[in-house]
Amino acid sequence: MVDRDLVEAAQRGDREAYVDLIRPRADHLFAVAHRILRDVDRSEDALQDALVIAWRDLRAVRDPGRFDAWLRRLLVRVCIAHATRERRRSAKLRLLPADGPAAPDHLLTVADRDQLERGFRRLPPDQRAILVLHHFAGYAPAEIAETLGIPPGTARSRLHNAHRAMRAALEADARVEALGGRLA
Amino acid sequence: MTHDRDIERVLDLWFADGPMEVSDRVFDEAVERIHRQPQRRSWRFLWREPNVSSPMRLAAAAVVAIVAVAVAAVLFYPRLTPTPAVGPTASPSPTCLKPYSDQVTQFEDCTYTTTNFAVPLSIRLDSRWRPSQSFSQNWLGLRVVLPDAPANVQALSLDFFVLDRVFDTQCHRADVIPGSSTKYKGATPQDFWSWLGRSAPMVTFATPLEVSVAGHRGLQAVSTTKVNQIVDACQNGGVDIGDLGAGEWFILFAENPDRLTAVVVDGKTLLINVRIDSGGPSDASDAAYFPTLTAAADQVLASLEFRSAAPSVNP
Repeated sequence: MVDRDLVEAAQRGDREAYVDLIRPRADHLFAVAHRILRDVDRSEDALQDALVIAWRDLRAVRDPGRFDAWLRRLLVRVCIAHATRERRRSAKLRLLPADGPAAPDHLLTVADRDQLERGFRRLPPDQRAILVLHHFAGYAPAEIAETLGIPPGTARSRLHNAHRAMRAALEADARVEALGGRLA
Repeated sequence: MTHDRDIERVLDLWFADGPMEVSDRVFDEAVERIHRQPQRRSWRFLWREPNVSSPMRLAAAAVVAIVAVAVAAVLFYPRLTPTPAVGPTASPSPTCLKPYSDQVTQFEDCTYTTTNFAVPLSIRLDSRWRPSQSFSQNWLGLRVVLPDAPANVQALSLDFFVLDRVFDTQCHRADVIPGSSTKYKGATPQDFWSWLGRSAPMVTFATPLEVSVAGHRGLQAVSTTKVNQIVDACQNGGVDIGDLGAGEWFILFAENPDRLTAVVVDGKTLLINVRIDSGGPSDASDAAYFPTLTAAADQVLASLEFRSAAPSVNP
């Protein structure tokens, strides 16, 4: 059964078809959620919420061929909502150790990753999502625009701003470290 | 760090780091939640055609078009004039009167009367029209494929909804409906539109115009909504307007315009909705075509009569 058939079966209320539909997608969706939220527990919560909401609202999908785009968009929305709630709840940033296996590259040091982690957590949730969609999911600005429901030009400018903010955050971090080193 | 390396390459490397698999426990919990979660029912989904390949769809459309052109050329086109007012100007045929049924694939040239619709009515249809696939006490739907429709327009949909209750919170998430929705207390079309303006700010409505619907005063406006606005507000593609009382909801979807007419009949709020039934997002050709669709609907609505009781019919 092709996915289109699964989508239509799920839209008719077939839960098993829906589970078959989402099972092969769950890992990638979780990975995307984790890159945005930077926390395993919250990523798991966001994934579950997105999968349940998607089931609930599946009949709003008019073109089954667009299911993946719709589901990914829903997940990103849920992640942004989770991240926004977290920012409202606590202005204090928590620095968590990186989850999962060690970095596959030999180019980023632990200090690099800490800097990136801190800089990324300072970004607004929507900018985090844009960076993840571009650098992790490999989306072009036009695809980011479609996923987030924003004009392509807006996606390009937000991506540019996110890069600039990330670079500025990292440079500010580096300056603080340099100053701390001198004071020490 | 960023002085020496391109920030984009650094981010590529950094995002490649991290977990790539979700645990079975988390997935199983999601499945458990899904089994407890009812699915929203959408009347639009019930209307959808079975999946047909494009060549078959084109062939079917061509056949329908050839037949419909002949009828439309004689009966329909000379009277295609968009008008906001609809009224009982056409007389039902005295020789053909049948009960409305969703079991036929296509109607005959005849006047159809409802026998169990919440607002009893009669309406004259011709053989171009088809019934919706699921007729209920509070929902009666009609569809027609017009010969000159843009390629992505599957049909014109004309439907009647009797709202059992309208929702009083934005987006109306399924998990808050039982505690937050109320029985609709409105008594006039103005009440409904006033409520709608408050409850669905993400939907843009033209200024409602007064119209006459089978001798009843109603208010009519076209809604337009970008999908972004609804998704931003509701995290899905539609905003729920009202409950039809049988597990089905009236959902206003984005992108394609809807012409909504509210009229109160025997204390019940009846919504008459005219919309493009397309397989995907609307485009400029759809918008340009919308007046033609509404005019086609008005041709049918001109024959509408509300009845106090089901008449005797010729089967």
